[in-house]
Amino acid sequence: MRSSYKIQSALYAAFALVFVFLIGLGSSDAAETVKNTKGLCLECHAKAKDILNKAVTHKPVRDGKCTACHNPHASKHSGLLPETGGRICFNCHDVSKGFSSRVVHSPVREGKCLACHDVHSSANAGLMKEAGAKACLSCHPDEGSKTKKYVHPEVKKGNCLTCHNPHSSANDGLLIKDRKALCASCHNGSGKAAGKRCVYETTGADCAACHSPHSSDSKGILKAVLHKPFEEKRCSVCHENGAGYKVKAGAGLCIDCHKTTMDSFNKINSHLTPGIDKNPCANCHAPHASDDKRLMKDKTPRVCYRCHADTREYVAKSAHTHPEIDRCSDCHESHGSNNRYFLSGGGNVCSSGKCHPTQGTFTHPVGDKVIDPRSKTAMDCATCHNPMGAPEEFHLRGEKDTGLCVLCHQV
Amino acid sequence: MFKAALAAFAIVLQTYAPIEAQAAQNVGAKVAAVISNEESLGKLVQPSGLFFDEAKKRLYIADGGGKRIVSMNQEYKYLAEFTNPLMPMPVQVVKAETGLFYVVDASKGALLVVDTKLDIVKPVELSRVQPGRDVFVPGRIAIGKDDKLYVIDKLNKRILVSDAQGVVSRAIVVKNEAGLYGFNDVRVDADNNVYALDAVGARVYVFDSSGAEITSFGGRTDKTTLMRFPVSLAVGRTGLIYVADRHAGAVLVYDRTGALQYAISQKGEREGELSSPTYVMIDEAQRIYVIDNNRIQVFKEAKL
Repeated sequence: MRSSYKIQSALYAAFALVFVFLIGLGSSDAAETVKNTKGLCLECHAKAKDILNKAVTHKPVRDGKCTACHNPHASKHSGLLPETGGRICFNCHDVSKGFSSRVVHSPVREGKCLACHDVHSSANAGLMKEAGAKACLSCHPDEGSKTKKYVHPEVKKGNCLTCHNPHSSANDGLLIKDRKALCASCHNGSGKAAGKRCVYETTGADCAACHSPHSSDSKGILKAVLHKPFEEKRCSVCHENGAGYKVKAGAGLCIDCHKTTMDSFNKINSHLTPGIDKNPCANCHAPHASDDKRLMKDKTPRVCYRCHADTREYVAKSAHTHPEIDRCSDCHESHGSNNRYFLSGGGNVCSSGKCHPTQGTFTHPVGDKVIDPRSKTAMDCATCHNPMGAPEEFHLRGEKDTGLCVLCHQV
Repeated sequence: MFKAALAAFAIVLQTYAPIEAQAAQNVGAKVAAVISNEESLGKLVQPSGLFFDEAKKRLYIADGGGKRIVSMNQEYKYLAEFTNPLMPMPVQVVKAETGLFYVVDASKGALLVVDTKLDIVKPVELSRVQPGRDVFVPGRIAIGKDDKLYVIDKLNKRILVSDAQGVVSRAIVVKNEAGLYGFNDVRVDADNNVYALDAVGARVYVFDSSGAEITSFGGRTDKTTLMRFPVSLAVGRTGLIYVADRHAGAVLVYDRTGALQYAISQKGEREGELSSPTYVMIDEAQRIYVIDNNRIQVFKEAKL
């Protein structure tokens, strides 16, 4: 009796050990637990042998673990893949390690890893489809422009990764360091630069405030559009003479010259706020040089997102956004507006210009006389669409066949 | 032990649950009225400011796009409206015990004093103002029990306190300006404590009646307050601070330490929901008025 109890206990212990072992197996990386099926798969997929002959091979491919990514029996996705896009990649490549900093490269955010990488093998390091800058320039052709007279040497050499992280970064522009620190890591920027225009204190300066980091037609890779007083070397228009070229105070300085600009702020919704810069205008505008004719401090969405951080997050996590989401000023007035959300043409801004001229003529009626039964206010494009981000295609607020309609039309 | 664990879990839930979930925990705020496109009122066009006259029990609406100040009784029936070519875009309104109105007009960026009976509109010339680093542009305004006016001096990041004649007695500023993007709203309680909101900085500041900063809470990186894009604030009679959050579609209610107590409403278009709230005001009967696009909803908290 006692010996059978011992055997039973031993069996339970053994079972527990096996169970714990199996649990342990289950918690390891997916690809690690997959069997080598290379021989079996290659019996039919003979052409796949070629992928093994390239210089760089993805580890699961090299190890013959085809089923790490493919289901050998059935799948609802092409290529017998269990999931689509980056989800498969992130099963092994931890998304928290290098892919989820504050600024995420849009293909990474959208799970389009294969936009840059070949999943099986490649002649290039990092399984890149194209070598060096070619990969970047296929989407960003203007950034490496060699048609301009002066090109930053690193751009000329195609070394995009000298300054940029292609996955994600804490810095705007996917820069590997803060803008000021980045330039200083190659250029000894301390001291004073006696440029053609001014003697400029360069210690701790933001080089990219005046210089284009990529290319320009101006010597010194100076940005294309110059503020007139800067261009004309009339520093004292904005700066007090003397040490440090201290800037004169506030928005009043700008209004002195741009007299009618104040009218554009005198609206129900006004962007005339002090912000964190010494001069409120300088929250958005560059006082010296810019690549934008409006002398914007940076690319439009970056300027806007500096204050509208929550909007940036909302846009980033939304399934569907307006395709021109980065062109904020196409729909919104930057200074002030009498319409909600600073829209330039009210709620029907979409049809007021050249973008969607037929909208409202054949679709659901909109306008002052069409009342949303929920809010008892006038319907406009934004009643059904949220261009800033929505769960459904065409940035619809509800599913297009019924879900959207029943928000108002009770069935 | 179990109760303590449950309580700790509840606190964690309250801190991190989405606002929609927290709305279910509020004290039962219900919609008492919706003010929108009624025949007598006409169409509200971008209403931007509200004021409730406790003595006369009148609600005043600064209907900026409608170029008018509308008055309603406490049952929210339209009574009258005031228009004047010198006040083409009223976005803020308060009423002094003298019966005079103080209005911010957006078209001129000016603070006006309005006598509706005599149909007189005049600019308020603020005097004895310490020079700021920038030009004076008035933002939102509030009025204290003693008819002191509290005017946001937008570009100088301060709140000017003036008497009815526009004589400025002091300027309220924060101790540490780092991280302050500017003041977007201001309110005064019965004890003349001043409450101010920095929308971009997502921070609430509280000053005592002398203008000294007592406390502040929130901040762009503080996720515990659940503030996403706070744009307006009000103070309830119990001292709770009500913050209208435009992106959350809710009014978030805090104590003075910044601890979130509950949320009123949730994102949506239906009655009782908020699409994009831009202004909140509370009257002495603890009715909570929220401007949400072209409608105004009045909430009443059941247990208060």
